[in-house]
Amino acid sequence: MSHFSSNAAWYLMRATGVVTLVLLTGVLVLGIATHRRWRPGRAPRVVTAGVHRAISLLAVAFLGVHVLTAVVDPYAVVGAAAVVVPFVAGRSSFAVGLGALSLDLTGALVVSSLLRARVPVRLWRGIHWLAYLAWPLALAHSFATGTDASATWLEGIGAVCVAAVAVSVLWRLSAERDAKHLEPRAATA
Amino acid sequence: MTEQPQTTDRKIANRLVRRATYGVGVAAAGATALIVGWLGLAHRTSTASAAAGTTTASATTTRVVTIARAHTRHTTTSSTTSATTAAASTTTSAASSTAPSTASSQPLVTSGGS
Repeated sequence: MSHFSSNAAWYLMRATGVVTLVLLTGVLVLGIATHRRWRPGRAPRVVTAGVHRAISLLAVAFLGVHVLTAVVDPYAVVGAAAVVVPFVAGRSSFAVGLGALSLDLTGALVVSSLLRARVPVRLWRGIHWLAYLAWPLALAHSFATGTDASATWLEGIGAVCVAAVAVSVLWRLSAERDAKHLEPRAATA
Repeated sequence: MTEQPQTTDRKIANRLVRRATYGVGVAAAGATALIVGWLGLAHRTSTASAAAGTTTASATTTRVVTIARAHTRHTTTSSTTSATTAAASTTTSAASSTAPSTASSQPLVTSGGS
């Protein structure tokens, strides 16, 4: 591999990693928005769920490029097995392992969602809960192994992602609390 | 009767989803290209800086070598001067004393002791 193409693979790996993290954040936020039955303006409610699904697939495409470039790039030295099997990479095995775990969970999420019609709802929902684990793993992977981990721009992006997810989770938790508050009223009414 | 509005809603929804997905996809691809370009530029700049650093280092080395050479020359001159002075001193001591200096490292003690 020439010097230029190996550098290009390295840059592409880093760039797609960052973009995938942002997309996964968006997917998680939109998933919570779907759960809260939020809709943008006067648009039908199904739009939120549709965009959630579409961006999930987009994130998977970027994740695919990220993984492929990590395997191809001679500098990263990530074997094909280390991509899916956690903590077996030769270098930075823990950090790469976090990414592998996140990839496995994301893969399970995508496959179960694509086969949703054939998967029991309870199982699908159970697997979907893994999203709350896949995202922090991806975030930890970004900051544990990334060349740009200590760069201010990546720290800024990470902070925005964390803030977005934190606000969304609080929004979801507030919905659960409201539902619990409403239950006794409905019972008495 | 109710089929028509649902279909329209569905069409609107699909169009909105497509538009949003397209927008996010273009933004993501653009961001990727931007980051790749930026990283490449940063790499090129750092390489150029490293090359400039080498030039500076080589200039510094030249300067250090020059200073070192000057220092050596100065030291050599000083040593010669000291040696001349010591020799003169020894000669003086030898002239003033009957006992010649036995230890060149302690000429003054020898001369002082006598």
